[in-house]
Amino acid sequence: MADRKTTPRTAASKKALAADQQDADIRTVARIGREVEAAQAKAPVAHKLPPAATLRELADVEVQELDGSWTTFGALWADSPTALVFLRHYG
Amino acid sequence: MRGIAKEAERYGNVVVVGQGSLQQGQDFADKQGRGLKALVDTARASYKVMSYQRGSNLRQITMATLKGIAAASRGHVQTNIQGDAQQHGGTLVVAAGGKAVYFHRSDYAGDHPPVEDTLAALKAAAALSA
Repeated sequence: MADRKTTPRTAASKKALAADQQDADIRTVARIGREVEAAQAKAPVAHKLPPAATLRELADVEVQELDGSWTTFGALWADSPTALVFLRHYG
Repeated sequence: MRGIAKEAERYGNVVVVGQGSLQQGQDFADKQGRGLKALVDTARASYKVMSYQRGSNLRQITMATLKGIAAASRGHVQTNIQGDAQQHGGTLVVAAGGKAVYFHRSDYAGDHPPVEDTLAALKAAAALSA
């Protein structure tokens, strides 16, 4: 088995490594940004999305589960994507 | 929504919100909403926050009638109305954490977005949440 070679890192090589890491970080952020844009582009568009303030207000609205207990919309979507279908009426 | 519920639940919650009484919500879940998570908002507080419409004008009544005929031809017949018949609803898809991804405001009775759109929006919300 060949001896493992160790290369002493000079200040210049450390700087180059840091620059490479920074480039990689920038590429990662850019890739995530592109993925988010792609995901948003795939979402169908119906009506203008409600403003964030409306969502914050809705998050605090208390609604009843069928067993009689209470929850909030915010609790529903805290950790999980959620599709809410507001019925016109039952029946 | 029942038709896509199984697939949709792979990506997140699918919740039906009704605006009648708890008893009416339980009746709905037993008879029509089987397999769907249902919540009841008797005070219609969420409908007010979302500014969903109440009432209908002549155009909306005409559109609703046409939709009703089309739905009946496919075997979807409206049974006893429970809750506020003047109240309209909508569909909202939210990513984890509370960012809205998709919104459809019902303009008249029977004005629902395609279920495929709701499913696609939920998938997009799941991608944003990851």
